[in-house]
Amino acid sequence: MSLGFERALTPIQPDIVFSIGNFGIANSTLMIIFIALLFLALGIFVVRKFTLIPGSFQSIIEMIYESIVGLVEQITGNRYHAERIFPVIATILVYFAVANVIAIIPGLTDITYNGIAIFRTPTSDFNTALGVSLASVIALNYISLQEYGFLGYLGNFFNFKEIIKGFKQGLMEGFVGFIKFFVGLLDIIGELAKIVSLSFRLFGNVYAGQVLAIIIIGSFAYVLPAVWTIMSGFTGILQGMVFASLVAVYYTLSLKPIEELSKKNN
Amino acid sequence: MMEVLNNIGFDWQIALVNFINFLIIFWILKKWVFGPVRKTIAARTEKIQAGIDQAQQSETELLVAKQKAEELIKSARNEANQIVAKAKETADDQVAHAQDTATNEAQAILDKAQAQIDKNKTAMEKELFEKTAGLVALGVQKILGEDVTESKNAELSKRALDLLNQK
Repeated sequence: MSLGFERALTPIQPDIVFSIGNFGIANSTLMIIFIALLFLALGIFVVRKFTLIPGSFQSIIEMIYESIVGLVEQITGNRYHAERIFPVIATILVYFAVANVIAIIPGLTDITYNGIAIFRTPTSDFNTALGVSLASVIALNYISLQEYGFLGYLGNFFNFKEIIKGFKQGLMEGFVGFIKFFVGLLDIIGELAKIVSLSFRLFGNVYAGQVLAIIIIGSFAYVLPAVWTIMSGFTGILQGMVFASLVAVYYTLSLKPIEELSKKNN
Repeated sequence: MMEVLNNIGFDWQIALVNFINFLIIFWILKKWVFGPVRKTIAARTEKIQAGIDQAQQSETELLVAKQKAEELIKSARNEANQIVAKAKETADDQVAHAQDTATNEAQAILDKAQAQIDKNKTAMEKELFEKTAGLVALGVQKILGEDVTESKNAELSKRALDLLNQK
């Protein structure tokens, strides 16, 4: 049964605005490029001029920065891990927050080229969520590799040591070692599952939010659409925060405990 | 699986481009935003910390100076007390010496005066004795109508004087 909203809904598949060779450039990609340029402009024209005595805008930026540092430190539980993963988590958080909120700018998503909207909320495109999730998990494994070393990192997935150690202690412990070995193999699937769960969760939430927005805008002419638009802005920031927090938790689980590091340093 | 992915708009080319774009955003934010903000905050924190350290150092120095000043005051007070005590001792000595001198001088004056008194007394007694002797001789002459010898006069005078002394 058709409710009549299908036409107004953002299509699940992003529209290709133009192509470079075989690579199609989607409207979500253009929005990401636009956001990247915004960040670059912020860095070159604003942040570079920051002084020791902050102005009001600098204070806001620093406040956001400190809040993210605090959030990451709260999740990881210590300063060392927080500093290590801060750039990744902060990028995810800021990027998603801006990407979700930028669609609120009136008229931005209405700009068209050959009848196709040039900009689209990047997070409502599954490919963006997948790309960021993939990047996050790769970064997670890269840091893990740095922490444990190549053999130690592989040892997390192929835990032969537990089998040998177990059989040295006895037959029963040997079988437990086997189970631990298979659990290690399951962790490989776990890494892939992280990509899937992160991307599906984000895409589902943002896309569902957009569907709801269309329904509300279609059903109510006044007041409620405005309230919903403001609320969806906050929801966007919240989605970014949830995604970043989840990645931070994954990072924390894959990092060495701080006690182990201090033992190593001693 | 691919069918599910296709249904939700999966396109490996777009996914790859968006993945690369995210890495670019990561690089931009890390290099141009987070790095400078961190540096600014760190520089400010360092400056504030330096200020706090300097203030603490000044406080410590002030405390040391205060202690030193207190020690100096204490030492000066002790020295002053010692000087005062010494001065008092000297003054006491001088007073005692002056008192002794004065006492001695007074005693000498008294002795001298006593000697003068004794001398005067003797002279007066002598004068009194001579006058008494004259009066006794004159009285006897008048009463008895005869001359009194010089030796008798002396004896009578002596007896009269003894009587006077006894009374």
